[in-house]
Amino acid sequence: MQKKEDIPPVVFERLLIRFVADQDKESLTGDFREMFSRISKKKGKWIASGWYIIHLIKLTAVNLFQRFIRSFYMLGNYIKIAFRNIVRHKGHSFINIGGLSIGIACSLLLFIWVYYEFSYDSFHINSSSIYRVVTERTTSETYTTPNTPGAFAPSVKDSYPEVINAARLFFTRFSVKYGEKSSNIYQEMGLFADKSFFNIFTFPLITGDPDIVLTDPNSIVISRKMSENCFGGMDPIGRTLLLNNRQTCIVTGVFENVPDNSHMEFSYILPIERVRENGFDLDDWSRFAFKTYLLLEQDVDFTSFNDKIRNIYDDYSPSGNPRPILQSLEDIHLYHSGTGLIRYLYIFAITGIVVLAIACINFMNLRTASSGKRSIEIGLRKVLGADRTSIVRQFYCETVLISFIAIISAIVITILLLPVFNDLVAKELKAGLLLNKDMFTLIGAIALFTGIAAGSYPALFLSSFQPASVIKGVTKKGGMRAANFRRILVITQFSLSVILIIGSIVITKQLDFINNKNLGFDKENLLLMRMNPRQYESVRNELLKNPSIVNITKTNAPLLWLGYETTGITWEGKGAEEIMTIQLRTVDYDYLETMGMEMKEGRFFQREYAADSSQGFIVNEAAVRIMGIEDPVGSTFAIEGGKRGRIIGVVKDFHHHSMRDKIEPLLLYIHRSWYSNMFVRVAPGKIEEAMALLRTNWEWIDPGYPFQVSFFDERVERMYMEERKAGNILNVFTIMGIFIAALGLYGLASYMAEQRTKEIGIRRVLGAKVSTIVRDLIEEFTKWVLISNAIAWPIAYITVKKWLQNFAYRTTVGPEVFICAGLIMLVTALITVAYRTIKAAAADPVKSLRYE
Amino acid sequence: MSITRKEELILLSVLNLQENAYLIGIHDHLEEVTGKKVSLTSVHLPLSRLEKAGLIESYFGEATAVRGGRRKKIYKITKDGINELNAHKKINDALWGDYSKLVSR
Repeated sequence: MQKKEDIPPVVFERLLIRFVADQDKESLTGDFREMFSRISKKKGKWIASGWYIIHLIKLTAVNLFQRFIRSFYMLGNYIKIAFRNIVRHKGHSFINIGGLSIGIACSLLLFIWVYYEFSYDSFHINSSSIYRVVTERTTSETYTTPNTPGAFAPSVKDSYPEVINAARLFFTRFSVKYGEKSSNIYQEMGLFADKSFFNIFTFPLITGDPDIVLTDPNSIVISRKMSENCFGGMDPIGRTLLLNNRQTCIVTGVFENVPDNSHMEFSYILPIERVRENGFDLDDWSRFAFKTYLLLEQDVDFTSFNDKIRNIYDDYSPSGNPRPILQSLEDIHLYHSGTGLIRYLYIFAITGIVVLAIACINFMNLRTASSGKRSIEIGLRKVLGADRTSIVRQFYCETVLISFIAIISAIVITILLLPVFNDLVAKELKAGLLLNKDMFTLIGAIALFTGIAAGSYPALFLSSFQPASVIKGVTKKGGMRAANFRRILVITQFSLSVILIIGSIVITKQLDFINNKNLGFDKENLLLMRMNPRQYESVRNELLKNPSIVNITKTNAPLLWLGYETTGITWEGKGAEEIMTIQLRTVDYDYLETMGMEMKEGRFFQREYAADSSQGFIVNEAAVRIMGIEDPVGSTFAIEGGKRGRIIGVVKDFHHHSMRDKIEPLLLYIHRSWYSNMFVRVAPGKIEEAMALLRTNWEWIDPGYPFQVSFFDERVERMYMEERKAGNILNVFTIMGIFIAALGLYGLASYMAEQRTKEIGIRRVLGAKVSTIVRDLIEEFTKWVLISNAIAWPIAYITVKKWLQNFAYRTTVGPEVFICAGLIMLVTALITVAYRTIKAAAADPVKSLRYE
Repeated sequence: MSITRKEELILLSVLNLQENAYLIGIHDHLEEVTGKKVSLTSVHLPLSRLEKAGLIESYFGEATAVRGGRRKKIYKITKDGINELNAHKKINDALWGDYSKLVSR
């Protein structure tokens, strides 16, 4: 007798019997049991059970696949019928397929773009184990800067085995001169880097050995493009370049141009040692000036490693309590500039999904609506012996086929629209982005999902009819259910559209708010340029003689820029625990007037007071609030290890960096030499004249550099490029979404009007006015719009509120936004429906009655 | 119909095994001859294909306790099967004919 262990579980055998062909049932279960007991004896029951399951799956998978293939013996017929139907109802099919493909194309464009943004820096072979070290400080608020001290990278590399490699980077913008002619100058972004740079990042070298190209301190490695620009077709190795008119470098290697989706941009690399010539110390712990990148061992958990090095700066006690924070390479682009791109990407991904959903709903709706026409065909098929599953299969085949047609035209549309879309998002996306595994999967999934979702209702519902009643046309109960289903879909669609409209209204509103908000200074007619401080005074006097120039001032940094900051300050009544990070701006006597700023109290620096230049400080209101001084003017103030004196005035808060963030504390003072930028206030309407004047004097203003002047209002504008871009894109895609919804509505309305042709005819004959009938038909659509508004408003409200939290200064969202969105939807719906219904209602009743 | 190498091996096994030519018997035989692990399903599928093509036929054999009282399905080669094998042998012989002479040189 058999032992119990040798018998496979009963469930398994049942399953086997269920899935195996009849003639094999007995023998196969026997064979399986024999094999089972053999394995069970040798290796135990568990392994045997595993074997049983695996082979069961193998056997049935093949079996099911064969069945599936066999079930499509009617496929040719289904496709033929599907095409006949498409051709017979040309208008309907056009709306059906057209709407779907436009919707898919819209979402594909957005998905390509989002995909591209997420692909940033993923081309590095080690991308998942490369981290950038940023510095987090906590003063009044916690904030991070991407800079670390020079001694940090070598120290962590030596002390922690987790770190395979570390590199310090220092970005710069030098003028590059090649050959003899002085016209061969151009400015390029470049960087100083440790030798390990090429071992951490994947920037392939065309010529040169990655291990040695940066060894010689005089070496320079340049991009392919730069090599072509400077040396044409000649071999660049060994040739010299002159940087900033003084540093001579010898080309030792050429790297392939940096890809578009890299967060670093540079055209040349210099050995890090050379930053010493620019006044930076590589072994220093106090000056946070370098970007540090680490390559960690693959299996290291970076958060726990981060905890290990958290207190690394404590021994050197720099101010502001800095801590190193590891940031994954692939996150840098998505979270850059504090607030980050990522929240826009989410908005766009969601917009893409919503537009796609609207298009799919359309498709489902129209399919459901028109499937009623097919009832006779289904009845006949049934009478002739088709079973239910074959009808289900037919409908699925048909919708999947149509959705694949739509997908293919969507891809064509996407490729055609890509150049326009690139203008919109200011990117260089290529159609090649469609050709990858992820996109193929996505597209296939969209097609299959749409096909199955849209086909389900007609497939499952219509196939359940009794043939006799279908042929007689008795489908009343089902008709009601179908109508309800359609109603839900249309309301969902309208709600999504309303949410999109509200979203784009709010973003546009926020943008206008930012653009029109008082910056605290006058951004019009203001020019900014770099300058050489040595000749400043004489340049200023010369330029001011010209009537087109109103005023000129100098400073250390452009506005709308965070960079020079310190915590090393003391003020009157400062507690031991109190810390404030303050932005430093050097100014001169004409700053306030040139910029058009205003004082809150006290006075600005004045030439009459000799002490102003050596002992005077001016702070902004934000600084006063944090310091908590009651009467700031006249109180003592000092920069640690620097000058000390008194606060002579408080300047009204102005935006000295992005308007997304709160205004930070700011310190203005006069410095001996720390100036590099010049602001020029031009008389209104005299810009041309002023530009010509600056151009002729350029050799004097900034010797050795190409002419470069920026209009300040454009700079402000550029600051909000991302928002502007987001606003434009959202507007365009909202319009697309509404258009698709309207298209579907038109189709639905015409279908409904068609269905009621006879009813309308009879009512007309009995004396109903056209207007009454139109009102009757429109009433239902109006009701739908109202319901969908009620659903959309709260969802939209919560979403926009949350999004606006990202901004320190935000616009209000009043009821008018919602009412406006509702009205837009209502008007769109009415216009779409009205045309079709009026046509139906005004038709000749005699013809209507003859219909069918 | 042309048969694959695997099917050829299975046909030959069926011929060799006679009374023992049922699924597991063939499976064990193949493992023994090739010295490699053979999956049960990869024997079952070619068998059903061959049967459908008419190269083998089957009858039920004895039932044993270890099989839970289920009968074996024993395969037997048909006339067509023999013909098929003959055709294969001819091709094989033609190609292998001078093998030992050529290799030993």
